[in-house]
Parts: sequence; structure tokens; C-alpha cells
Amino acid sequence: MMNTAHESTDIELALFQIGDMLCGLDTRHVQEINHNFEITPVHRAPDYVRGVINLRGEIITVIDLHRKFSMPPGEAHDDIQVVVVRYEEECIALLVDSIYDVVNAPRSEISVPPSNVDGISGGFINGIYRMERDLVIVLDLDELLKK
Amino acid sequence: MFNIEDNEIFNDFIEESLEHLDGIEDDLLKIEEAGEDIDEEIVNKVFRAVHTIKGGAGYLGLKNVESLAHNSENVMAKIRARELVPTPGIISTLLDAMDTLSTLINRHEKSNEIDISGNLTALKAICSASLEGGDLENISFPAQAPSEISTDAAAPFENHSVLTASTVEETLLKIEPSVMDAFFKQGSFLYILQYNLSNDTDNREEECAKIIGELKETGDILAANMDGDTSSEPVKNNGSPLIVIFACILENELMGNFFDINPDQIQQITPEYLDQLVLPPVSEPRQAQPVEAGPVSTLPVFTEPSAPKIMEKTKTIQPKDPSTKAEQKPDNLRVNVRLLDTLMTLAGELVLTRNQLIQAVSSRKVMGIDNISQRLNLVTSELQEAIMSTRMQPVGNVFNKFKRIVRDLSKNLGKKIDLIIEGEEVELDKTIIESIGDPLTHLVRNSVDHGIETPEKRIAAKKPETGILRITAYHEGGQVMIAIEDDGAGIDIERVKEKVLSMGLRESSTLDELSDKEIANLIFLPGMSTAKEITDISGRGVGMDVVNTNISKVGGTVDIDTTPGKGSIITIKLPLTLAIIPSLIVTVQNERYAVPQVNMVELVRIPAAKVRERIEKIGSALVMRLRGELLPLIKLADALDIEDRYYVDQDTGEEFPDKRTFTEDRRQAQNGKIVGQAGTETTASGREKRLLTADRRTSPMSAYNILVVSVGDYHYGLIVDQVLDSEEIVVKPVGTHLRDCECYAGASVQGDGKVALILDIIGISNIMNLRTVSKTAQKKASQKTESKTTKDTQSLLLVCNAPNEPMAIPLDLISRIELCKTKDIKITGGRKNIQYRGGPLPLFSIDEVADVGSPDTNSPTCYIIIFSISGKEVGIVMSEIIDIIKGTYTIDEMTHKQAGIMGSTIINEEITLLVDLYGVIDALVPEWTKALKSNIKDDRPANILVVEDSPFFLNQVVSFLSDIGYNPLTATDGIKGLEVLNREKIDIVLTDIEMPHMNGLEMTKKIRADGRFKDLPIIAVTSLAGDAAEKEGKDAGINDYLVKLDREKIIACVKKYLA
Repeated sequence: MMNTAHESTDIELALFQIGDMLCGLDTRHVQEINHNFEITPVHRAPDYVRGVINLRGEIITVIDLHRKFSMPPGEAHDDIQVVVVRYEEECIALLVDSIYDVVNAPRSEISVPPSNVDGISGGFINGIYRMERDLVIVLDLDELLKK
Repeated sequence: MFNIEDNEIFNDFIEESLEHLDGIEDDLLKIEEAGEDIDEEIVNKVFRAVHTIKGGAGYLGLKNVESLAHNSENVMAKIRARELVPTPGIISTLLDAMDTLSTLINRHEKSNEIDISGNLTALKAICSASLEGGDLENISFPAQAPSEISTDAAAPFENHSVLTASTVEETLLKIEPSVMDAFFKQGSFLYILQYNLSNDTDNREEECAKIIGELKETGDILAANMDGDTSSEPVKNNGSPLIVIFACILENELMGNFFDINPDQIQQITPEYLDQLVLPPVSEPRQAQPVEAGPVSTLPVFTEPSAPKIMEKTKTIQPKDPSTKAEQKPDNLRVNVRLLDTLMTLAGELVLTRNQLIQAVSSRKVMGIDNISQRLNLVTSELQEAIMSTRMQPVGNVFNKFKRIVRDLSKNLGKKIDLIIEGEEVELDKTIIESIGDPLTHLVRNSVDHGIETPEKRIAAKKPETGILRITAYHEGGQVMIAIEDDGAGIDIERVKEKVLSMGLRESSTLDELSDKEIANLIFLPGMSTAKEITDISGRGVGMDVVNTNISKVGGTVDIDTTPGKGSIITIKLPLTLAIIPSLIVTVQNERYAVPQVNMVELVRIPAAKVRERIEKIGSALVMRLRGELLPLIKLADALDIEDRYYVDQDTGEEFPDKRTFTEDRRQAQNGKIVGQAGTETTASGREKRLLTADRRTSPMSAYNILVVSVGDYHYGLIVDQVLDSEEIVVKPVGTHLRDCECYAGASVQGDGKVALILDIIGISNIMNLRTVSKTAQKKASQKTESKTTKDTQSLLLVCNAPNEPMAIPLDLISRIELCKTKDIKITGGRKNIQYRGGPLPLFSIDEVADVGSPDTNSPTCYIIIFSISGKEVGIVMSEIIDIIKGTYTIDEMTHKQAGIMGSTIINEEITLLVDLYGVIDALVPEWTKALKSNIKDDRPANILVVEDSPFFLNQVVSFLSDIGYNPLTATDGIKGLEVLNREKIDIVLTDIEMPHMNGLEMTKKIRADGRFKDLPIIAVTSLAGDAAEKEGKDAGINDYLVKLDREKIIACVKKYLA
């Protein structure tokens, strides 16, 4: 999915914050960014599943990226922000702390990830994009969402 | 391969051809049935269909398809010209040709490489035989033609290493069946061996020679895909295995010891296998369609299981299996154009309504919104209905396949069976139709294989030679029923018992208490298969339990009714649709869950005071006592592994009787908890509010709300915090990450937009391992039953009509209890009624008849106690349900007796009136009870002796017997009964079984011993159920067995014996 580097020189990244990390996701996977949901907890689900939401009548699984990255739980928000992505015929919501922006990142600026960033396994990371001030961790959706 | 310029054309051709073929099968069967009486229209139809396929195939360059179609067409032409009589043999050949055609078309890329010579020879033989005017019987149908063991070279074996695409090419080894027969007669075993050869070309020839040499020392080689010729397949091609058909006297187990070969690579050919080869070899691909899996599916043991395996291991191989292909195709659904038009119209309406709504909202016109919302409501429900109906398909789609299956099977087994199919037009949801195919096929096969006997046995049993298998579908009570009925041997109850005992599935004491029907239904337990020998047709490890599981997966139930020697009826109850299901909404820890109604048995509420006596512990498991049975009990919160936020004292070791203090503890602990945990504050404070406002006595905190749910063969109780309401919910699937959670069956969106998960009752019982608990509980319960059943107890429903005026109704008389809104009760024609289950339900109030308090008319809801009288359902309105109690009560029949009230008793230290349901109806609508009273025309009323130790029951029976004009005489035990009998002229005896001094059985024996009374009808009226008890009673001389207080049955029975 991600190794289509030769197709274009830029990729569009949706940026969001998880803990104190700035993460980016190729917008081709992103269906929408939404907020203000009531999450219904699902007991006995994998620990990284926060619950389910009702997105216009569809039941969507909410993945808690804090748990996925084994980070301490984030502060409880009243307004829940999610990035809804398409993954293998299914919509999945990624729970994020805050949403930033969409940027165009030249592929040349994205470097190979180190094996481990701030304790997050390199497997989840597709690359590091160096913005003017910040480092953006480009996430690998397949790796993130595969069971 | 040919160039596929346009996939569209191919797809169209395939779709069209398969559709034709579908119809052809049915038509051919009809032609066979008609025999000489050819219905030209049908023959023409088949002819045209085959012709169309031929044309298309010719255009697309599918040579094999074309030539097979052409030859079939020739045969059809002869049938049409009446040169040929369509005998079963000819039809079989044609059917097989059609099967092959469908395979060829499904695998059109490879169709030109598939061998169809078997079909062609058979078809040509028919044509030429008819030309020569020869005797058709002598034509060599494929049955007699040389058998070809078509082995997908790689397929028979689990090939672990060298599979490449080339190995999947078909290899054909031919042997005359007679040759094989000869070896079987000598006592040899036949095997197909597969050797994987090394990659080195030079070595391979040597290797082959060595293997052949080795084999020749021990047995005979019948055939091999290498004949000393160095250019032969295995030698030439890298990766091609050497395949040998080999005969020797070694048993399968020993083969591995003698030869350097992996046991996986040995395939034994048995004489049975040869027999099955009587069916032409081309049937191999047919098994790919699971529904159609007739006997032939067992035939090539070779290909079935292994083909998918190969695909798993070497992904480069093109999928060969048509079914795998079908799975990849998106599901298509045919929709009637008229229906589509309706949908369009409705969609238009919806758009219109939306525009109106937008306009009304933007112009802030509140007036119009009311109208619009009503319109919206209408359009949406119509739209929903229309869309749902697109999913509905006739069950005939599944049923029609059985014609072929039954035909092939019965031929194979030498049985004569008439298949009658009724109700093909009954419609079911597409998903359900799809999922019942396999279970139904299994049941049909079972009936043909085990149910219906061979003609000889049937004649011996004085039955018509031809058995009847009837498959019926019909609507009943909002559900679809499918009945599979045969007039065969029925199920051998004794053998089921034996098997259940030997498998340790039930205790023998439990079995004695079960009726034959209940025992027959035990065949749905896992591990049960009563067929003495496992035949290929049924009993291949796929037992009835799988049928049961599959049916219950779609929310259906299976029930079996069997009469030894007469046959069996299997009834399947299915919901119309899966997408919307009635369910009960419950909460636990303020989270909402839905429980499908199909799983529900009843709701039980145990007040805190009763917890001690109703709930026990077996080991660490909780069980509940419910009408003498012990049910495993779990808290939903535990089942879902909810971290308990409210219970601080989560001491599981704590004894249950301490419930009250436990509840108190919980309340106090909760307050402390709120301070400490900010995250839970909202929910906790909400709960606290409820706690403070709720009446302590009726608060759900102090009582247990238990859902009794059914998991097929056993029930269990699920403790929830609150039961909210029953709702029709739309089932939605959950995401892939949640598929492994066994406890959910899906999710649904509630009216407020929140999500409620649907509980999977079976999954929960698996997680909590309740089957074992249930077994132990049953054991324990059966130990205790003896002491329990000796005493007569009454179950009473405690209700209130007016506040503070408790009343009791015998529970046995009540069919159901419903909660309804007071405003739904309408008065029509001077009579109260309510819309219930699609019809009006007449309602009565106790205060219309008896001088009792009236209910509070302002209450928004009331309860309806539903019972039946003269086969009619009626309801009595009550404002409150208090409890169900069980015990022995003394009834005072003097003080409060009046119309509609049979007396009073003291329950929970309060005077409680006993409601006489029949009395109420009798007083208000005497004509309804007339049926019960009629028919007594004798001048002298019949004398009925009622022997009963419980004054309550005695009075009950006496009162209704005298109501209809009989003359009841009473006795309180057997000894007194005999005294009365000697003194008076008695026409019929009604007796209890369990009584002091002399029980009913002893009394019956004594009566029967007296010559004067040998024809005196004796009817047992008892609470003791079960076959064992009944048998004992009948042995003692009791004529009939009735359940206590079932007034209508008792009267009917008395009338029957007095007539």
C-alpha cells in the first residue's frame, strides 16, 4: 500500500497528535475526521480497542493509539476526536488527542524510520518526515490495524 | 488458452448458461417422471437451453462445452422425436452431462483441457443404440464403461514440498473395474501411491525404476503414469509425481513400513469406492457445490479435501475449485423491476419530504413540521419494508435441489421414495436461505438414508413399498416453519438412550423422566449419531448437532417428533429475517445490551429476601433454583469481564445469603469511590441519584433480575441490573477487531443514536464454561427431585388490581403475562380489548365481576394476564405484578367467596384473594364457557369420585365439576377413596398420585383387583410429570394422565370417558 513511491513525488499527510508525538497518515486512507462521539465500551475486546461508535448508522471500531503504542493513557477529553480510515473494506476510527493540519510532504523529505521512536515499535512507522520545526512520524496503517 | 478479449461477454455467457443449466436439471427430472408421456414443451425447453449454450460456446471457442452440448442436444432431439424413451438411465447420463457442462463453464479457461470423453461416449452410445434400434438396456452407460480414476495428480495427497502449477494438471489412469474386482476377490488391497521424485532429471528415471522394482516384489502394479518410457510425465517433468495403482496384500497401516513412502501419499481404493464409481467419473467437480453434495461427493475421496489445501500452500496455482471462485464473485441478487420502481418512487418521496423539511426549518415554520415528520415516518417505514422485501427469496430455491439429491440417493440405496414439496413460494431472507441449505440437505439425506426403509423392509412392515418424504414450508406466528416428514422407521428411542448413556451425556435417572419426544431431541447433542454403521451418505461425523448449531446461528430452532415404525417429523422454525430481530434491552453497570428474544425463555426476579433460598453455590459456580431445576447462573458483568466500579468488596468467597448486607456495603463503598476516581464521576453520580430516589424495596439493587436464556439443550440464568424494554433492533455487524469476542453477536443503534451490543448467548455460555456447570447442576437437581415431588405445591402469581389488595392466580392456568400501555386498551362494542399479536385480545377486569377495589386509572401501564378458555385467548387486566410464590396454602372458601373469587388465603401475612379466572369469564360472557357445560343431558348427573389430599386442588376440581352439572364425591386419600367407591355408585374416578396413607397407584391397583370395577375409568390428575411416572401409572391401571388444574383438559377427558 505504501510502496507506491514512484507514483508521485508528494504525499498528503493528515497530521494529528498522540501523546506528545506528532503523527501523520497518508490522506488516501483517511475517510474523514470527526469528533464528538459517545464511545460504547466493548468488554472482552483486545485492549487497544476503546469501543465502538455509531457513525451515521455504521458501527465503527475505535482504536486507542495510546494503548497500541503502549503509551500512558491520555487525558480524558469531553470531545472525542477520531480519524476515520478505510482499511480492508471496513471503516475504523483512530482515537487521537488532537487534529492538526494536512500537509504536502515531498517523498524525498521522508526518511527511513529508526527501529524505535520514543518507545514505539518501528514496525508501526513508515518513515519520519522532517517539517520545519517538528518531526512527523508517518504511520503504517496496515501494520497498525492488522490483527 | 484463448484470448479473452472481452470479459463481459464471457461473464454474460457464464451467467446465462448457468441459469439455463439450473432450469435444465429440474426439467430433466420432470421428463424422467413423465417417461413415455413426453411433455413436448419441457423437452423443447431443455433442447433450446442446451442449444443456446452450444451456440455461445462455439462463438467463444469453448470446444469441449460445444461438443458436450452438441451431443446432449442430439439425445434431446431423439427424445423429442420420440425415438428414445427417457429412461432413468438416459436421464442420469444427461444429468451428468449437465453437471460436467456446468463445471466446464465455471472453469472455462481450462475447459478445453478437461477430459469429457466419459460423457461423450455415454451420450453417443445412447444415440447410436437408438439408431440401431438396439436394446437400450445393453448400452454401456458410463456405469459400465471403463472406470477412470481421475486423479488430480497432486490432489489426493497432502503434498508438502514440491507442488508447482504443473503438478495440478490432471493425470488419468485407466483400469478396467473387472481387473480391480479380480484383485479384491483374491483378498488384495488396492492403493494409489504417489511418489515425489527428486529434482534431478538424470536421477528420476532411475528412481522410478527402483520404486517400480520394489513394488513389483511385493505386489502387482495395475497402472502407473510411467510405462518404462523415459519420456513419460514423471520422468520428463520436474515436480511431476509418480503415480502408481498398486495391488498387494498389505494393510494400509503396514504400507509405510514396507515402502519408502509417506502415509499421506497412500490412498486406498476400496470395493465400496468402486461401487460408487458406478456413477460416472465426471461427477468430481460437482462436490464443489456444497448444497448439491449428493452421494457422489464422497466418491473422489481424492480431490475434495486436498484441493483447497494445495491452494493454501502454493499460491501461484490458479484456483480450480469453482466454489472458491464463486466466493470471490460479489453476491448478486435478482430484484423484481416493479419492486425497484416502488423503491424509486419511495426514494423520490423521501427527497421531497426532505426538501419540505429543509424549507420548514429554514423558514422556522413550526406548523408544518408536524405534518412533515408524519410523512417522513410513513415514507421511511414503507421504504424499509420495500427494501426488506428485496432480500426475500422463496424457499423453493433450496427445496428444488432436493429433487435431484433424493433421486440420486434413493437410486443409490435401492429405495423407492416419493418426494413431495409444498410451500415453495414461502419467502425468507436471503441470508437465511443461504445458511439453511446445508442443514436441510443433511436432514433430507438423513431421512432418505436412515429414515425410509428399503422396499423389502417396508413390505415386511406392511407399509407401501414407496416411502414418502414430504418437505413443507409454511408461515406460523410470524415465523417460517419448515417440516421434513418421512414415513420411515422413525428414531429408535432405545438406541438414543443407550448412546446418551454410553457417552455420559445424561444420567439414566434423568432419562427416565424424559418423554420419548424429549429423548428423540437429544440426538441434537454433540457426539450423537445413531446410525449403526456409518454410511457415506450421512453420518460422516457431521452430526445433527451441527444442524442444530447452524439453524440456531440464524436464530432458528429444530424440533424432532418421531413415532417408531411410523416415521419422523423434523420441524425447523426460522425467523423471517435476520436483519431486524425482536430483542430485550437490558443494562449492566449502566451499559445497554440487547438479548435476542429467540434466546429468551423467561424473566425471573428474585427479591433480596428470597436470594438465600433461591440461589446456591456448586463449587464456585452459582446456580438458581427454578421450579425444581437448578440453573447455572452468571452475572452479565462477570461474563463481560467488566471491571466493577461499584462493588469495592469484590470478595467472591463471600457467601450469598449475606446479600442484604452486601447490598448495603455496596452503597456505602460507592460514595468513597466517587471521591477517589474522577473518571467515573458522571456515571457514578447518575447512579447515586437513582439510588436515592428509588424506593429501596423495589430498587433493582436489592433484587436480582435474571434472564433465563436457552442454549439449545440447556438453560442458564444471566443476572443483569435492569430490564428496560423489548425492542425490534436492526442488527449491524461489528468490525474485524471485535470478531474474536465470542460474547457479541453484533451491534445495533438505539433510538437515541447510542450503540447497544447484541449479546451472543451461546458465546457467553462457552466463555463461562456453563455446559459443565449445567451438568453438575442437573445431577444435583436429580438427586433432590425425589424428596421434592412427593409434596404437592401450588405456584401462585401474586398480583394487585387495586392498591393494597393482593390477589393470587394459579400459575398453571396462565399462558403469558404482558405489560401494556393503558391508553392502548380500547373499548369496542362495549367490550375492552387490545391489539395483540395481530388481532384483538378481549380484556376483562376483576372489578367488573367481583366486589373488589378498582385500579388506579391514571397509571400509564398495566399488566395483562393471558389465559385460554375454550381455545380462545383472553386477558385479565391487573395493575401490578408482585411475585410468583410456591408453597402449600390453606384456602378459606367461605369468607370471600363470590363471582370471580374462589376464596382467600394468607400469603406473606396478608389476606390474598384467589382469582377464579373461569369464574370471571363465566360471569361476564357466559356463552364462552357454555362449551364446557354442554353435553350433560342425563337425568342423573354422573357421580365422580375425586381423591385428592390437598384441599385447594380438591375444592378446585369439585367446584368446576359441579359447575357443569356433575356430582362430585370426595375423598382425601386412597383408603377413604375405596370406602366411597364401595358405598356409592361411581362413574369415573379422578385421583391424585401422591397422597398420605394410600397413594393413587396403590388405590388404582386395589380398584382394578376388584372385579366390579375393572372397566371403571380412572384418571390421574397430578403434578408428577414424566414418562416413567406415566408408564407406572398406566401399568397400575390408570386410563389417562392429566396435569392438575388444567380445567379444560380435565373436563374434556371426563366427558370422553363418560360418553
